[in-house]
Amino acid sequence: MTARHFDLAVWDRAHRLTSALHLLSRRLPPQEFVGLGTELCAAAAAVPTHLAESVREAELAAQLRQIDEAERRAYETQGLLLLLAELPYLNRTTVSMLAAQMQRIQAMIADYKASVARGEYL
Amino acid sequence: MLHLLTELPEWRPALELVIGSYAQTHRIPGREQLRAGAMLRAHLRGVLRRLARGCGTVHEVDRCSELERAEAHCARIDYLWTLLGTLEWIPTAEAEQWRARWIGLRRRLAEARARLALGMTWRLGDRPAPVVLAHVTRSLPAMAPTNAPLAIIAAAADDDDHANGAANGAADGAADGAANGAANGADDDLRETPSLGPPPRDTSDVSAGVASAGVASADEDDPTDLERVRPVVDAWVDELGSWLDAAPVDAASLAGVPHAERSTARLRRRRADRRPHAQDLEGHTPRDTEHR
Repeated sequence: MTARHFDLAVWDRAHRLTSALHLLSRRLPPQEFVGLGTELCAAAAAVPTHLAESVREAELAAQLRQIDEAERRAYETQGLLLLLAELPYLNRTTVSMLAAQMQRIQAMIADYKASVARGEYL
Repeated sequence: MLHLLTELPEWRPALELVIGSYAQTHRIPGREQLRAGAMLRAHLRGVLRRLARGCGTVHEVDRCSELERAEAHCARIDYLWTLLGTLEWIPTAEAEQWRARWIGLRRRLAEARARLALGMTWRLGDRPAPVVLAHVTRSLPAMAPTNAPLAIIAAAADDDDHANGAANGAADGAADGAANGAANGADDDLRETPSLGPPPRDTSDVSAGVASAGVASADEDDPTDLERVRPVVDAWVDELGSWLDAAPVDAASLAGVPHAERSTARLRRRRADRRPHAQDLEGHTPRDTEHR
C-alpha cells in the first residue's frame, strides 16, 4: 500500500508524458503554441495532478471523483493528440506514439481506479 | 470499462470535420487570422475535447452533458462560419457549405444524446429522471423534423438490451405495434397493438429501431411490467408533446417513419387528454367520455 503519489506507476508515467508534451509543444507554430499547445499541456498536466489529489483524499468517494477527472482529462489529451497527429505541424509518428502512450495511461488509470474501489489505497 | 476514443461513432466524422475546418482557418486574411481564426480553432478543438471527455466518463448523465457542451461548440462554429462568409474572409458559398456540415454534426450529436438519455430513461424504469428528460427535451429541437421523436424513441430503445424482458418480444417483429406503444403509452394501446408486419426496410433510418421499442412487447399477463413502463412513457408523452407543440411536424416530414403520422396524432391526443382543461365538469377526460 502506498500513500504517496510518487510511488504510483500511473502518476509517474503521466508525469513523464506531460513533460514530453511541454517540450514537444514548443515546436508548434506561434499561432498554435498558445491555442492547441496550451490546451494540450493543460489537459496533460491535469492527469497527474488529479491522480496526486486522489492519493491525498481521505474518503473513497472523493478519491474516485479525482480519478474520474484524471480519466476524463486523459481522454481529452488523447483527443487533442489525435487531432495534432492529423495536422501538418509536427512529426505524425511521434505524435501518434504519444497518443498511444496516453491510451496506455488510460488503461493504467482504469486499473488504479479498480484498486481504489476495492479499498486498497484507503 | 475502458472505452476507445477512436471507436466512438461520432469521433471520426467530428475529427474529419475539424481537420477540414482547421485548414480553412488559415485562409482567413491578415490579422483576423490571429483573432477570428484562433477563435474558430478553439471551438473546433472544443468539440473534440468534449467528445473525448464524454468517452472517458463512466456516468451516462455526465456523457450527456459533455455531448451537450460539444453541441454548444458546434453552435458557435456554425455562427463563426456565417460570420466568415458574411465578411467574405472565406467565400460565402464555401462558408455556407462548411456551416451546413457543422449543422449536420450538431444534429448527429443531439441524436446521440437523445438516444443516450432515452436509453437511461428506459433503464431507470419507474423512477423519474428529470435531469435525463431535460436532456431529451433539450436535444430534440436540434434534430431534423424527419428524425421525429417517435423514431428517436425507437432508436433509443434499440440501443441496448433495455433492462428487463420488455425487449424480449422485440425480435417478434412488433415494429408497428412498438411504434404505437412508444408514442401512446396508454395501456389499452399496449394491449391492442399486435405485430402488424415485417421490420422496417430502411435500416439507415433511426426508425429501424422501432421494432425493439419494447413497450408493445411487454407481456400482457404481467401487469407489473406495464406499471413499470407507464410512468416512463407518460413522461415521454409530456416531453415530446411539448416539443411537438413548439415545433409542429407536418405529415410530409414523417414520410420515412413507419406510422409516424398516426402515432404523432395519438401522441397529441393523449397529451391533450392529460391536460387539466381537457376534463369536463365531472372530472372526466374526453377518453373517459368516449368509453361511457
